[in-house]
Amino acid sequence: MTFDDPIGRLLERLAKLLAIFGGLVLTALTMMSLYSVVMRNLVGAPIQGDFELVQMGCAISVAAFLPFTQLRDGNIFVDFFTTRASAGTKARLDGFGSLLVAIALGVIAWRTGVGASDALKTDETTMIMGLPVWWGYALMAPSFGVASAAALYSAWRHWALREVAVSEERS
Amino acid sequence: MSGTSIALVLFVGMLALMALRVPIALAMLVPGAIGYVAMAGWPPFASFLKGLAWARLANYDLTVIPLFLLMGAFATQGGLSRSLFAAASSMIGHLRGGLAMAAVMACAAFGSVCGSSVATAATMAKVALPEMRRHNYSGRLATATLAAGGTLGIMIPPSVVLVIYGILAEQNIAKLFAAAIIPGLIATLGYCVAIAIYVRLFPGHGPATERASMRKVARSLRDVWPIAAIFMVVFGGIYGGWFTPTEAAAIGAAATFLAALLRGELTWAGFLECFYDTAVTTGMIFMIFLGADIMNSALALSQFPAALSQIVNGLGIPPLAVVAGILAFYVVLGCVMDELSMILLTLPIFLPTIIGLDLFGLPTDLKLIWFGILVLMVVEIGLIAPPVGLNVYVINKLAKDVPIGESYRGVVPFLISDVLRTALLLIFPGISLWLVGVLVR
Repeated sequence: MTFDDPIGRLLERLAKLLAIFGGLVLTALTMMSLYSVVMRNLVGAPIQGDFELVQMGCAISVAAFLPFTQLRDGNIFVDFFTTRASAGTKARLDGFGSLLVAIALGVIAWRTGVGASDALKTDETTMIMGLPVWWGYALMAPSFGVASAAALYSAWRHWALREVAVSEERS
Repeated sequence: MSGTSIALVLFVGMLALMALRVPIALAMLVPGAIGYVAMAGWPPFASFLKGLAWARLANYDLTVIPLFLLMGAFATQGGLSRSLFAAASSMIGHLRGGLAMAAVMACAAFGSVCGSSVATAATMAKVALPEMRRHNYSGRLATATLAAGGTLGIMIPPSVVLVIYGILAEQNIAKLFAAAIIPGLIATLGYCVAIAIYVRLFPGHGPATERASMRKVARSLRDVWPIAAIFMVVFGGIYGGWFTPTEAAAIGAAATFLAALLRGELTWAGFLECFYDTAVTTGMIFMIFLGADIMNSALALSQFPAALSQIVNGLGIPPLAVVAGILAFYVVLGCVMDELSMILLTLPIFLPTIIGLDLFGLPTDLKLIWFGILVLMVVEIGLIAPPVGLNVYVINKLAKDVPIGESYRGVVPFLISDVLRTALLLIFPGISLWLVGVLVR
């Protein structure tokens, strides 16, 4: 994946940074779980409420993975009905699909941002550690925003450059 | 308009978008959103959306998905598949069709640290495909073996598909994994038998090769102990009651990372590749989750799942026939739709029906665990069955000289084995459920 225009390069850098950030958060969670499990089973003193950290950390890292998914056109789609269509038609349809992704992720970014400010206003905290829930919301919303921009960019590539999406499926 | 007809309109909209190459996540999300707003209005939908991302992403059970994916990525980049195939082929490679059986066994072993099917198939193909071709195995048998063997990645725990099922059906993931172990072993054995019969009926597809020396066997076995150790720690920990599946996934990921590092094959670029791979797959799965969530909320508003359950119960069809019918429906739907999206979309609709059926007098939790294993079998079939067997595509792309038709022809014996096993598990729930009772109390 290398892009030859400035917007593409910027988005690629952002998406990769966010993906690595998400990966590092995940890795940190694995280390914390390891520590907590050892402490709980050997010393009987686990980190109290560690699962809340896992939950929040995972939400943040999964959201951080989304821009990269969008930039790589990683969404699964069905190409069964369009195998005979021309490359131009396919590219236009793929652009339409990416546009829908961009809109949906944009709306989710906006609503998650509103969720953050609501959680801040109501002082909602997690049960055991008392972590402010708005942290989680606030760290997810920008990732959704970048993912939306990445999807918009890939819609432009499909339309302007007639790029056809490859169904690179992974389940 | 009645709830059921609204649901039908939503389905038609979804299928139309899918046919137009719209990502499946959005093909579910868009009609779902429109239906939701049409039935309940914008303000409730806006407030539903506000909490949606948090509710879906910050879910303790779901965190095992990125963690198991990371574990599988480390195993892949660390080259663990090579040791496994070397060990298996040094033991049985000399038999007729032996290299293919060795590939199946190596896939099963790799499946014990990797929860995804395509990843297992692709990584094993890189080692086993050249080796089989070098020993004059036909492209048909070689590619089909790896495509089918890859499905063991989701059969043998950990399994991303089972985790997703467990979350939707609100079932204990440790129990689901326990229930998958014996069916997974039967699948491995069944594939080996299928290969043995095939090379006897059609000699020349998998010729016998030279036997490896005892010393080579011993050396190759020494290389695989870390994988066995990781599996023992992860599942020993879960069933010994020392940690939760999420913690097990975290520890497994850390241990696999160390094993890959110690083998000296994990480069810095490979390490970043692990993050990128995990990112794309995780992102893809959670996009489908978000889409299916919105679609299912709209369907729930239309009360279609409950209506369906009532209709089915009123028909007086034997319960086992209903289950078989649902499974057959999955096989057909799986021809055009990706299996993961299919489960996410349809389970919330079918679950009330399954819960309402009297199946062998099983309590609800065991019934749903057993049904989960059956769904897993159907997903497996969908991954290798024409016209769009994902694994077959992936492997066929790696073997450039083999026509796709050849690969599909080779898949037939494995499909027969799959169908027989599914029937067996459908008729005898005890095969899946016995180990649940032994391991989880």
